[in-house]
Amino acid sequence: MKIMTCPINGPRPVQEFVYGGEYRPMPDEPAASDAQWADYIFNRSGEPGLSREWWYHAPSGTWFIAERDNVKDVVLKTYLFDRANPPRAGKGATP
Amino acid sequence: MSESKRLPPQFGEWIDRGSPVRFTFEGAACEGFAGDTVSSALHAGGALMLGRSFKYHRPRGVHSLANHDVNAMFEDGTDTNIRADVTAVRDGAEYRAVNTVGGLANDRLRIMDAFSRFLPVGFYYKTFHRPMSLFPFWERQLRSAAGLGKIDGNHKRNRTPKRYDWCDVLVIGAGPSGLSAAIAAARAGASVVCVDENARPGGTLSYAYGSEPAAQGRLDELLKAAASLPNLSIRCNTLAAGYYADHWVALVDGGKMTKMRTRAVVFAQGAAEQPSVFRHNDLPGVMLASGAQRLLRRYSVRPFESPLVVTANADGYRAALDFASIGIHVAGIVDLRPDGEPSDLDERVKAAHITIHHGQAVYEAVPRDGLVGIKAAVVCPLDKQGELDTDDGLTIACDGIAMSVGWAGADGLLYQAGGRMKYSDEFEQFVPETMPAGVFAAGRVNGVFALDQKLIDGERAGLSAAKYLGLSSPSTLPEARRGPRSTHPYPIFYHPKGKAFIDLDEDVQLKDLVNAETEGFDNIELLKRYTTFGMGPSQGKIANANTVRVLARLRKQSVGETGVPTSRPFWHPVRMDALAGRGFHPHRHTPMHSFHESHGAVFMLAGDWQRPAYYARPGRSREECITTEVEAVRHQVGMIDVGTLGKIEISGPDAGAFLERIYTGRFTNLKVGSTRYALMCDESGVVIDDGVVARLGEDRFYATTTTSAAASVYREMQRYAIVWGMNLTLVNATGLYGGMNLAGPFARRVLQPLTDIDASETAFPYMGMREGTLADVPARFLRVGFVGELGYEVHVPANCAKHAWDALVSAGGAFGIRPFGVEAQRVLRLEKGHAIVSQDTDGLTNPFEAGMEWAIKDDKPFFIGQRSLRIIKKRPIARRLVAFSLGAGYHGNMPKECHLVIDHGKIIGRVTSIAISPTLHEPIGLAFMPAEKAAVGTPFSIRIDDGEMVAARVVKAPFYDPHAARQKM
Amino acid sequence: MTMLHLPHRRGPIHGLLESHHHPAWRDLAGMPIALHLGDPAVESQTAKKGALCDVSALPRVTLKGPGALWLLGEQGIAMPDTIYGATPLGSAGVAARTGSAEFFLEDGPAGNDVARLRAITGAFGHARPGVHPVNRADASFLLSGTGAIDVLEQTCGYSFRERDPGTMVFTRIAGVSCSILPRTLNSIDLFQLWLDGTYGEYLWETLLDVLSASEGGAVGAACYFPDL
Repeated sequence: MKIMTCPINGPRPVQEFVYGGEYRPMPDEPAASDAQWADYIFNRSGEPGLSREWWYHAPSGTWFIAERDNVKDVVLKTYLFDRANPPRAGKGATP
Repeated sequence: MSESKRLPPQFGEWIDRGSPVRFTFEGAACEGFAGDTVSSALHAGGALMLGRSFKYHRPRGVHSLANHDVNAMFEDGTDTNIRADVTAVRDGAEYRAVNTVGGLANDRLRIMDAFSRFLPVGFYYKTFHRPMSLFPFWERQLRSAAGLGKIDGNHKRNRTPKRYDWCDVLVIGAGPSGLSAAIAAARAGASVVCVDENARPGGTLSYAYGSEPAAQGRLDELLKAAASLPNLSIRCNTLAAGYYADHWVALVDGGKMTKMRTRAVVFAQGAAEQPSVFRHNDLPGVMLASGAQRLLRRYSVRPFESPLVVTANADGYRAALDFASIGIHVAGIVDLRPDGEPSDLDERVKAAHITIHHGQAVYEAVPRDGLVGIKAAVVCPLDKQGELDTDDGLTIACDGIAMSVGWAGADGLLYQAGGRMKYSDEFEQFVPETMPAGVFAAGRVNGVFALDQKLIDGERAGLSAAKYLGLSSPSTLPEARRGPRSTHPYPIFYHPKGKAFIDLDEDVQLKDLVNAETEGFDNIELLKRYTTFGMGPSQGKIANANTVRVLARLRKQSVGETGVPTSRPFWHPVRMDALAGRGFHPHRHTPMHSFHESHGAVFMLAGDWQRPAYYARPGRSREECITTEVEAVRHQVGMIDVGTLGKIEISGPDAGAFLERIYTGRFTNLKVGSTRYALMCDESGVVIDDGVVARLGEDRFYATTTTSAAASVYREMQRYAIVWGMNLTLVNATGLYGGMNLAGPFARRVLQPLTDIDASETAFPYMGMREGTLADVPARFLRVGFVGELGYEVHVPANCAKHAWDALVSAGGAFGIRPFGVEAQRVLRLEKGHAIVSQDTDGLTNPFEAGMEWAIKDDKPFFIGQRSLRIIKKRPIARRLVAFSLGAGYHGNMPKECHLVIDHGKIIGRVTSIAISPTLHEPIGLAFMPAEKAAVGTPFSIRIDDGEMVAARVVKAPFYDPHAARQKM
Repeated sequence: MTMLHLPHRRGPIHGLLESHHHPAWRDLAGMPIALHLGDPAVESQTAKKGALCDVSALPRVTLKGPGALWLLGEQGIAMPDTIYGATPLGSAGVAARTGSAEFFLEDGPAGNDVARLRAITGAFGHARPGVHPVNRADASFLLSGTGAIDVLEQTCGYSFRERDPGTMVFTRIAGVSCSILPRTLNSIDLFQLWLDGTYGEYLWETLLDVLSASEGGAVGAACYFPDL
């Protein structure tokens, strides 16, 4: 089965993890219109390319971000969330 | 039985003549040796027919002897679908062929062959429709005829161990290229595991070079070199069943599975010899030349007495020489190639006085009576377009046909690994084009057929794997040549009378493919599903390649354009007990579990937890037991184990602010020593969990969650803490504390003597929290009202929780205490009209619909779901969760949860909870109703299982103690 | 606040051990620990071949929070620098850093660090701001002997072939989240497992089932802590 590399625990079978959804920072809430807010809540990108995803290593309770080529299903890198330097929002072009 | 076909001892044979084996087949006594497979032992004893085909019940015998066909499938009273060609014969076994009625020889279903005209592929889609009423009858007949072995429903479960394993390089195949690759990688320092599905290593070196003793010497050298490397292990009888992500390979041996994680894979599984297609090409005596050679070289069995060899490559010539070397009279070589064999094998065959017919092919085999074997072959010339001149046929007497007209790489796992293959017109075979990182191919599967080239190709692959792993960096890698060309582009010959088989497993004939394509199944995957080619136990190993050629020709496309059906695990059938293995089903117990067990608890599973549903009492029904528990709580005192609830500790300067962002309510103003109901929504405003938050101190809070949401709520809190960058510490305390809920009018009287806290109503009011001791152990007390009676929820560190529970039970004895389970708790809370999240709410329920609006405090800067709730609030509410009753006099059939509310034939709502209330003596429940029909007093109808409609009425909640006086005592 | 003596505490598999083995119990800081489950001479051989031992009773605590490291330093307890680093604590204890501000300590039978820390932080951990003590309720087992790795290879997808006693590994065994540390006690190489106590009975029975197929078995703690 697939290997996912936790930035702290190292490479592990993907069974040890919980998928946490697409990384999508909340829009500036008061400024967003109802329509923009609904788009954030309900719509997800399905385009091929680079996905940024939240993943959780269950045995150790570690949250991190994985960047994945979702066409080839290859995990390119994983790293801890850094509030001072958060990942870019949105899908990137195919790497 | 006919005379024995066993040869005198042959060099390199796999049998141990010192260990005879006795068994029966179809009731008759047979013998063999240790090292025989069931088929080789039977064939040695003179048995030609080993099975009956799937649909037409035609006699079948040895064909590939490599598990590329399943002509010989047996049951032995315990196991079924034993593939006799590759299963070691067992002393004392009683084998029978599957798929017969009345035994193999007298199979009553052999008449199906005569009716084959009416049973083309897909016939069951087209017949038996009229009359429709008879279709179930035909369906049953077809299903029972369509099975293979029988399953014993009482078979004891086999718990075979599974294991994990790791290596640097996994080499699949221990033939010349595989061994060569394994040795090269091991010499470079990799830890190498080389697996082979056969009982011994060697691959083609163990059967294909019988007429060249030097080849045996090469095998010995390779095995000696391998044995000298401690970091190389060869595992025989080990099938690489499937390739999974990141180089994870399922290895199956002896019924157990090993999950091998390797860092690089070398595929060296070789190639499967392909048959020629002609009339009666499926009967006993017609076999692949490699199958005949396996019989001969591995098991020292004469495959036949006077075979005709039909070939288009050097392998066929080698086979003919091999047969001749042990005294078999080769009736001739039929070479599809007009120019014949270019190598010196041609000379050697002529020197052995074997006639060669160039540019000819077998048009049909002439069967013996009863179809058990053949007596001649009709051979016709091939013209330049590959068409047979059937008027110019020559009948050659023979008792067998050995076919060597082509090969198809055993490349299933290569595809699974993401390899891209391309069809080589030069070699008429799919060969690897690009391999993903860490994946390498060598030998016949790579299109390399000459022995010396295979050794070089293996070495290249092994060194490449080592280089990929950074273990070695040779400046140049050896390069091998593909070829020689060993596959004929179209060894497939139509016969007007049919019985030219493409797929032996499924009895698919050439004409079936032609008809199917005419009917529009013109894509290889569609053709597969309609005709079922490639869907039998051999999964198309000797059917797919020819079918692709046929379809390509019919569609006037290239083979490359036509493509091959998708390859999926497993390569060979894998026993269910190897897959099931020793299953791991984690379960959780609370610290009070032994009490529940010894008090008659009937358990239910709540996630991983075992929880008492109720406590059984002798002579009482389930409903009576639950009612007794409910009554005890209402009138005396009861206690339920709530240790499964989620418990989360939150501390730090931002703890209160954090909780206000997570939950819909206010918590920064919660007084120390108090609790408050906590409602959680997701971003879209849907209710996802609820519980209670207690303030333990200025910076310390304690939150409970529902049992099923404990892990996910904690996980989400962890994520939000990171994203919001708040200064706090979270602890998942779910398993750290046992919990018990003591409820009923006598609860205080039971509790007070055991605790050092003042449990009086003034000192410890409703919704309060205190910390102290219970029966001399630390305890945290929360006054809660879920079941609507005076209640204390007590949380105690897990290792003294049982002690606390026992103390309460003991003290409660004088007051008639009863333990109560989940079922009673459900009834009790329903009587109070309390909703349970995810039972009375669903994936779309917002707090407005569920009557939880009061828990939203929107004068906060932010909480999860706030914006969505503001948007939702502006709209009219579509539905509401209402309380209903069926009326005190109702004694009819009870609706169940999820039964629908029907109005004028339309679904307008559904029941979420329902029970007969022992306290109120009437059936009550909660249901979703459209907002305009939610007013108290509104009548409605519920449709129950058999379509009956039950009348109900919306009532005011709570049903019991509407002013909540009892829980606030 | 004084530390209450708690004679009423039981480990997660106490009942299971009592009903199957009637062990020789000993009180270890208020928790019963099974010294022997059978003949001590046989047990000491089994421990070297393939054995499972319940050490849930060893005192342990986790301290979390911004003040935790400071408190530990104040008490003279050194902690590893790296996350998942593990070092010995006292004569037979373990100290591990399990997060950026999370520290795990377990005392051997003669140790006192955990008791001292618990006394400072109190039963419900009020006493020190910035320090969040965790009332651990682990099941903890020792899996020892030459057959131990074989049991792990049947139940765990992480390879322990390269033993690293300086690193605690968080993974799953037989489907249950565990932390694992290779250790050597009384000259016997072993793996210590810690897991949520509510899964204790399940994992004990599962591992014993795997062990018994190779003739291993359950033993008491005296095999590893001769001073007990």
